[in-house]
Amino acid sequence: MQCSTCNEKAVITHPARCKTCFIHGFEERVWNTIERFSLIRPEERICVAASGGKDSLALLEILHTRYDVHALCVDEGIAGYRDQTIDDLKTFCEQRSIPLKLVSFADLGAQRLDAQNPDHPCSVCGVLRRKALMDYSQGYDVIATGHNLDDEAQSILMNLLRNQTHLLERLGPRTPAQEGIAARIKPFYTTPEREVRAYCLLKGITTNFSECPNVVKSFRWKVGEALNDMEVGRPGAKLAIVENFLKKYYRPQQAIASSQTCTRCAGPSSHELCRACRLIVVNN
Amino acid sequence: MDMQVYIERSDEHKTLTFTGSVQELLDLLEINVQTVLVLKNDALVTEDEALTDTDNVNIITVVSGG
Ligand code: SF4
Ligand SMILES: [Zn+2]
Ligand SMILES: [Zn+2]
Repeated sequence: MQCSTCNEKAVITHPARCKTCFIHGFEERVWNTIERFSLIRPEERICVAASGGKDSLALLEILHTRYDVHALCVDEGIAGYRDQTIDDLKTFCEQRSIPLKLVSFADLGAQRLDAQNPDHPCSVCGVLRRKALMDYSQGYDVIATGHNLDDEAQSILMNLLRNQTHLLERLGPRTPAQEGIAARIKPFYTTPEREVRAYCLLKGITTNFSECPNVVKSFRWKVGEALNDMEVGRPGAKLAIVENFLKKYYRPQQAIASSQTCTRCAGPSSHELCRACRLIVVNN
Repeated sequence: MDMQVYIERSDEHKTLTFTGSVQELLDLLEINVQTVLVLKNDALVTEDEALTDTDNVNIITVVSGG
């Protein structure tokens, strides 16, 4: 198969692209996404939430060519998994002179995730990770994450399947800043996960394959598998889900109203204690 | 000679007697093309690429685990 723009041998399909045209198109789509959704505004200080996995490395690789970015990494404490991606991240940031800050669940006053041994590790992990990003991104205007098209289509479907449509307002390419909390942006919003890995591979960014032992237990994993099955029969299914969400639910200007603040950390919360603080208190 | 296939996600090495396209190999192994990229002798190739017994095939996963 040949590249549909230059006739060189294609390395990827949908659309057919050679290495050079693919890399160019991949980066263009990121700049277009940033522009389309006004993800980064002039003078904003950017912090990239980085795990050392393919998504965050690819994001750093692209953003650092045009912006002055810093990396913030949360170590959840997952033996045999996170240590390896953190090593990859350290090397990557050193080579590109990107400042890197590492924080762990212990810095929040919580135990390592594997020591907590929760029934639903991914929900605990997500809540504490979000809290760590919130607490340690003071001084930045935006937190950029490596969430890609697949992640977003999964999140939308998960909320629909759980009948939690009120949570859809938290999704979208840019979540506005709230008091003391940076805005969150997703420059890979319309980029398929498969292409992120291809980009890393073709750019020579080393990402050792490693998988969190908890991932296959998650609802997200099941939804992701179903979406991939769907995509084979109906190419474009993931993008259609996301574009429909944008039309029907995305309100970029509207800050998420939180009725109360947490009495322990003063973060947004609908209860006396926010979810993160409840977890930290229960753990101690 | 047989084809050497490495499947990253399950960390499996297989030796197969196979001639056909990348897509046919994935069908045989029951792997969804959406979840992988295929390298033939270390180069990324498309699903229509022809594979023969002398090739070294690497099936890498695109789904990030966590
Ligand atoms: S798979 Fe779950 S537990 Fe593992 S890093 Fe991801 S969210 Fe955390
Ligand atoms: Zn080309
Ligand atoms: Zn709190």
